[in-house]
Amino acid sequence: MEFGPIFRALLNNRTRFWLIIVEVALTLAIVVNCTSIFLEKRRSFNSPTGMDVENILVINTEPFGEDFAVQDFVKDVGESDLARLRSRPSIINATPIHHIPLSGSGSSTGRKAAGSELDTVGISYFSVDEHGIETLGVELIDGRNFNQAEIGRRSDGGNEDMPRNVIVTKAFAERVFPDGNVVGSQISNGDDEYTATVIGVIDLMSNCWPRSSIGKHTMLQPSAAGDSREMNYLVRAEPGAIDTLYTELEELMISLETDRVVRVRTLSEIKLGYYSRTLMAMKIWAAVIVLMIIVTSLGIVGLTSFSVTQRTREIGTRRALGATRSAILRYFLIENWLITGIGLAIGTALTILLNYVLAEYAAAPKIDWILLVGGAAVLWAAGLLSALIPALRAITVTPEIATRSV
Amino acid sequence: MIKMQGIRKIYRTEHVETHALDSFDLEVKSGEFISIMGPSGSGKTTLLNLIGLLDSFDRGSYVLDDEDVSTLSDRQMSRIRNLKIGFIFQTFNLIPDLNIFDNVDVPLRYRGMPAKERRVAIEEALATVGLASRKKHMPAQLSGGQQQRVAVARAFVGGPKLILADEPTGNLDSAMANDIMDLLEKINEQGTTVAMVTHDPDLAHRAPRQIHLLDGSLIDLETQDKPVPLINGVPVGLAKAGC
Ligand SMILES: Nc1ncnc2c1ncn2[C@@H]1O[C@H](COP(=O)(O)OP(=O)(O)OP(=O)(O)O)[C@@H](O)[C@H]1O
Ligand SMILES: [Mg+2]
Repeated sequence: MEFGPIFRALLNNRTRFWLIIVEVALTLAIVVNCTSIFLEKRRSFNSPTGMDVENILVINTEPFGEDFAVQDFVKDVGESDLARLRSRPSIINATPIHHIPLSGSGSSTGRKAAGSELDTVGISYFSVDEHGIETLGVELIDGRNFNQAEIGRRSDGGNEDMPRNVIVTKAFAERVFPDGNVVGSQISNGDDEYTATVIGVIDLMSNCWPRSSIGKHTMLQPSAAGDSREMNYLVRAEPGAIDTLYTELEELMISLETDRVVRVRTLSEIKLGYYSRTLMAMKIWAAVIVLMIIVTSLGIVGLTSFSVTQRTREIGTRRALGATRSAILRYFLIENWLITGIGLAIGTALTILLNYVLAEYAAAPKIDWILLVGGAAVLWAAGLLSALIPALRAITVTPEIATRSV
Repeated sequence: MIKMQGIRKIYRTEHVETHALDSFDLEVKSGEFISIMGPSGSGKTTLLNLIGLLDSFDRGSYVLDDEDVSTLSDRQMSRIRNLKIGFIFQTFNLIPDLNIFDNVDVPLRYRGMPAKERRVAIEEALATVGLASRKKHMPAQLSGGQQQRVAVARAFVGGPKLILADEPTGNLDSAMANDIMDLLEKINEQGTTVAMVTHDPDLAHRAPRQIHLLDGSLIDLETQDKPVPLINGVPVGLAKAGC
């Protein structure tokens, strides 16, 4: 094939092509890094939470009636709310809860193995009753659930009121008890003033901050309904029932007790809210990727067109010397292939460099080599398609151009 | 070698039709050296384009090297140009991004000749035109005369039966022009048919046969019984009416 002379001609006229080479190299570096960030964000959004997110509704109540100043009244309302919810058809179960998972706001503390000299590990906690596990849809993989006797009043601060029995996630358990034997072990706060027994381990549950480094360090504590004036309930609907429930639950709650504002949301909705910036960023990254590829393709179309126009007489001469139309087409495609190839080679180095910088200063993930290969393949294809347009114009140059006086 | 009969070539633009050649006949035997003269616009380049299969014609028949080439596909014409014809242009038309060696290589590449044979042929051709030592040079590093000698090498490197030259010396001074003419004569002596368009009467007369074009018609001076008086290179009294 005619690689040799095409390549030598390229080297002899670098000015005509360096712009495409630089463009392709930069595009590869930016597109691959953006895609890597995009995929990382999508992975974070789609990563399993351990919960039955699609079927969970969140009910938030804000009482304004004076009766709610009385603790016993609040407790009665809570108990009757939950009893009513649990008995309603198409609701699998319901639980009181004080913070909402995946919402971006909640409480966290530090816990360690009791007596250990090590630092405490961050963990976010939720107070639920014995229906919590089923309502959340999390999987208990070791130990047991809370029993009714343990469901007490939520702590107001003092260590004496703190729950004695807790359930933790596997992720936290593995951090704090690397040797196993979690169930029955004691965990404590930093100065060992308060200890609790781990009675169960759940496989996975994202907490209020799923994106954070402790996003899967989650602890369930026992708590009864009506611990506070403002109450949150989680309701787990049977598959397919969530839409109907979504529209009916507000009315149901008001009908049980009128002096309150009730707000019903889906857990999916809350998750979307928490990830809204991530999703926006994903859209921006996607737009940058697509735009870069389009701009580069247009650049190649433009520069190759220019080069075809400039070389009209050369093309005519080649035709006169015996080049067929397909030989001319091949010439321009091979030329583009070589230029893009050089650009991609430089771009690969640039991609890795940029990734290194981004990883260092912006905690970007390391690039998967498949992504690099894929990005290069896409740009190569885009380059060939872009060169095809001017190359098809080049083959319309007639051989008699060669003898035309300028 | 060339047998044209009743050739008509009309250039059509949006509003104008130019009858560049009309009812045109020409016969050139194998091994001949003809020069083509005529005033500007008389159809010399058009004729050369048709002979060299660079352009198509509207009417008539053309037999080249015993092969009817009146109706060929673009691919077939490319192949004949590549194998049987060598072109030399007024503006040299070397490819500026390729060195001398690669320039002479261009027609050989299109016929898929093995690299070794190509190398031998190119070096021989460059030696013939006296530029063996310049094969790594770029066209821009050579004088006009040297560039045209490269073009001559490129035209005959593949051993064509016919060499067509459109004002090959038009951009050269007379010393260089004579060099090129010497080369063409040398090539012709080896049996290659040569057709050369020129405005230079001295060069034209070095060709054994001269033909004259006037408004797309032929006056073959060699076959004229008596010499035709020329005014400014135009035969007097032979301008055809019409067109
Ligand atoms: N591509 C074209 N389109 C339209 N008309 C053309 C074209 N090429 C040539 N002609 C016309 O055909 C006629 C013959 O042109 P041609 O180029 O063959 O003349 P020539 O003898 O080579 O002239 P010169 O000595 O100036 O090179 C002229 O009238 C010219 O204007
Ligand atoms: Mg001309």
